[in-house]
Amino acid sequence: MAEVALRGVSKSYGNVDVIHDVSLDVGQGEFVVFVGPSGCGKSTLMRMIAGLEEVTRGDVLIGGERVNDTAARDRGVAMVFQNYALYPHMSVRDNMAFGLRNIGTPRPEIDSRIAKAAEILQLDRYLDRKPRAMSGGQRQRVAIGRAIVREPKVFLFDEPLSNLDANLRVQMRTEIARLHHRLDATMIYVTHDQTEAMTMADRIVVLRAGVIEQVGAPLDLYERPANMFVAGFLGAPKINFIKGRVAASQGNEILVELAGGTRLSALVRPGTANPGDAVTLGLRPEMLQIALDGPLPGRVEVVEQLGAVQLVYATLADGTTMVAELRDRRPPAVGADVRFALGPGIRHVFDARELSITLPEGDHQ
Amino acid sequence: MTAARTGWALWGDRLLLAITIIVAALWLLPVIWVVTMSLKPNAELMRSTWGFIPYPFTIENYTNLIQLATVPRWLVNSLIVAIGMTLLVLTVSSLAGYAFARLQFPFKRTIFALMIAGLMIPEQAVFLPLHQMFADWGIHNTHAALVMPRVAVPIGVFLMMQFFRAVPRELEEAAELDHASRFTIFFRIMLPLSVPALTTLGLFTFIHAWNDFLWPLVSATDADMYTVTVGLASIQGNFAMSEGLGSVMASAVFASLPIVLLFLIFQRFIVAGVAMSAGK
Repeated sequence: MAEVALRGVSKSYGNVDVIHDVSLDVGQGEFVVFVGPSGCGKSTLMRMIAGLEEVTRGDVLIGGERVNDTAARDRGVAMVFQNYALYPHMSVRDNMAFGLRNIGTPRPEIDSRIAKAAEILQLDRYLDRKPRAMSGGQRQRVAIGRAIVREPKVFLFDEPLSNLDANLRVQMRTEIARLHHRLDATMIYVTHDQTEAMTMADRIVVLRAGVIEQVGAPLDLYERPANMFVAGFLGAPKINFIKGRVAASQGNEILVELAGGTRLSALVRPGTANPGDAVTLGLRPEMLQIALDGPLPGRVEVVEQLGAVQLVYATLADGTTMVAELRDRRPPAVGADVRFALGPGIRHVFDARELSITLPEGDHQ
Repeated sequence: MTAARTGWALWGDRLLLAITIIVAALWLLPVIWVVTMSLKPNAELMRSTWGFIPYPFTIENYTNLIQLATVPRWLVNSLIVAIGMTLLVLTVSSLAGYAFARLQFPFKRTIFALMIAGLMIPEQAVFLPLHQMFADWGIHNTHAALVMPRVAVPIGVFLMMQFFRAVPRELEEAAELDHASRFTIFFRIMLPLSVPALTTLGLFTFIHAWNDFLWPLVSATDADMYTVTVGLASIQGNFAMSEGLGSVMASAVFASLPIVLLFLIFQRFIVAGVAMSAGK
């Protein structure tokens, strides 16, 4: 196992820069998830660590050693691909053994490693099958098995669950998390699915347009997003953004006037918002409740009944669509005029540059 | 179970079947006619060549043909040329196809354009310089002279390139991470995967080589170096006069037999190959 470090890493294709000056430390045994929308550069970043893409500027270090000029095969990393990339003409056993044979590992050693991996991944019965005779989930397990037998310094997962159906995805998610605990291996995982990131990661790296937006533990990012992008990317259903203007400020507290004239108070870092400034409030759907005396009036457009919770989509006076996650078996009817109250919790505030100016929790008075 | 088709759909199917039968018969009848004539005595054929039933029946035409001393020699020549050409075409096409599909090298686009341009040059156009060149080297009347001009096949390279391009790149990247060198990747991953494409290309090459007539006719002037096609053509004139039509037909059937066998054994690959070259 080894730690991975990126030092000012950039990647350009001709004149197009896709990764901008990224620096990051991944600790030994850590599970780090790169998350971001399509085209944000998360896969490119991972491929640079793997050695499948050249680094334009900066350094990639694995186990403290600079590996920029080291061939992919000599970096000691194993990668699990989105489409599994199993060798179709080889049996499961041969797929796993291929890498070990190439470095001249003795036969008994290969057999014992395969047996161990097969046991961990419950593949014992399928070792002589060809990949085409297996289901998507089993193939993904073989791909993971192929990585395990190599005993790499670092495991890289490139959207490994994207091709699986929803049920299998949840199951494999748990399996990979369990595998991480069992192997205590350094793992870097790329996904566009915020749920995977939230549930699996020790730390999440949120990327946008080749730039790291924020790095932190899942709950830290959820509760203290650095900007609107991070706040919007993490959490399902998505956070509600409501535009407003600072009507008054006193110390940490500001009064935000929304388009419909509604005024809401919020706590911000001192000196970050002055009367007249445009701000955006971020309200998590689970913070919202329906109450007769709630400050936010809206009309219900759609109600989604999920059993345990209900998602109520409403339009506010200024036309903003908002979603509230209620725990009320009898949600309001479509077309009803309701008032939303803000329950306890953090109210996020973002300035005109979309950066968070929310007062950190510990500083609340 | 499929639902029974009724009404117009049923009549449409029947019409299609009828057309297919007519077209198949048009293709098949001359072949059956040739086979029938080859199994009739020459004396009988002097009276009438009509009829699709070989009666009176004889295999004399075939035994006469095989007894001709040079025929086995021509068969061997054809086999050497066809097998040699097939192996070399597969080697060159797969290596070049892989290079064009996956490797980066200087002037790649120019070289590729030149290769594709080769498709547009009719082979007859280069016969004279080719013949002169081989004459200068003194290699006419050798197997090498019959094989060499056909080893670089642009369409083969193109076919293999298209095939290799369709192989997911991740497969090679996975192999790269599995400590495989470029050669290991080519021989252990890409080549085994391309067996269907290689089989198709190999079959077409073999058939082409077996049926090839013009170049062997020009290059092989020594009767010992004739291929089956050239050899049989050389005796057909005499045969028709001295032995009769049955012998000529027997020689035609005889020359086609290996190809028919190949078709029967590998027809699955041939159909797949036609679909592959059309679908890309």
